[in-house]
Amino acid sequence: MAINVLVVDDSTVMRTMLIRTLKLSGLPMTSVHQASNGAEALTVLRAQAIDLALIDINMPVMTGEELIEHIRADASLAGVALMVVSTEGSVTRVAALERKGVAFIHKPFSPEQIRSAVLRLVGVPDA
Amino acid sequence: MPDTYEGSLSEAAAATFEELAYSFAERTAVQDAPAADDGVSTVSFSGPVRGRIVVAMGGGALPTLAANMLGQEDAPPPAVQRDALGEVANVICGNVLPRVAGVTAVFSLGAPHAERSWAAACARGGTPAAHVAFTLEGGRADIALFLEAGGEDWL
Repeated sequence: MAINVLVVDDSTVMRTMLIRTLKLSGLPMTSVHQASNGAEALTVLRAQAIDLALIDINMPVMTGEELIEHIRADASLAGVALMVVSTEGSVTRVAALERKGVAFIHKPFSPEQIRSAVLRLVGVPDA
Repeated sequence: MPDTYEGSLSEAAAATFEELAYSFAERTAVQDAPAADDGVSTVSFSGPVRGRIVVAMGGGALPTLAANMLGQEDAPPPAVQRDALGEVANVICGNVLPRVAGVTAVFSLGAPHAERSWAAACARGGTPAAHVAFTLEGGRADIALFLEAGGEDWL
C-alpha cells in the first residue's frame, strides 16, 4: 500500500530534507504535499486524502501543537497518522504528544529512523 | 553527560553538523572576532532559564553545508543558505538544552533570526556561558550559548 504524505515545516530546507529522506528510505509513497505552517496544512488535509502528516512544532501562524488539536477535533481527519519531527528534547513534552497518539522523531534524523517510525505508525508492510 | 557547558555545546553542535548536514566538524580554537562572512543566526529559548544560541559561519562553509543538507552539488541561493543556517541553529539549540538542563525540562524555542554580524549577535548578551568553534569543509563555524542573568546558577 502506497501512502500520501504531507510535510509541514516553516523551513524550506527542512521540508526538502524530509522529502529527500522519505524518498531515500524507500517508503512506498503515492504523493508528497508540503505546507509551511499549520493553517496551510489544514487546507491541504481537507482537500487531499493524506495518510501521514509529518509536523514541525515551532511554526508561525499556527504551531504544530495547535495543528494537532485541530486535526484531533475534526472527525473527517481521524484517519491521518501524525508524526512530530522536531528539535524538541524534553521527554515531558514528547510523552504528552505520545499520549495523543502522535509519534515523534527527533532532529537530526536518519532515513532509517524515519522509515522505521513511519512503518510502525501507518503499518505499511516492510518490503 | 558532559559536565561543562562547553562540552554540552560541542557535543550538540558536532552531532548536528554531522547528522543534519553530513559535514565532519573538527574542534578548533575560538577567536574573539571569528569570521562570520557567510552568516549569523540566533535562536532564543525560554523555560526554566532563558537565553539564546548564536551560530556564525565563515570562510565559505555555509554554501557547502547548505548544499549538503539539500543533497545537491551546487550551492543554493543566499536566502536558502540563511534558511539552512537557521535550521542548524535551531537543531543545535534543541539538542543542547536537554544536555544542560535535563531531559524533563520544557523549553520554548523562538524562530531563527538572522543577525548582521557575530559582534551584533553577541553584543546584548555579555559573556557567553560557552563558546566553541569548528573547522568545516570550506571554512569554520562558531557557536555560543548565552544564558540570562542567574541562568548559570540555576543550571
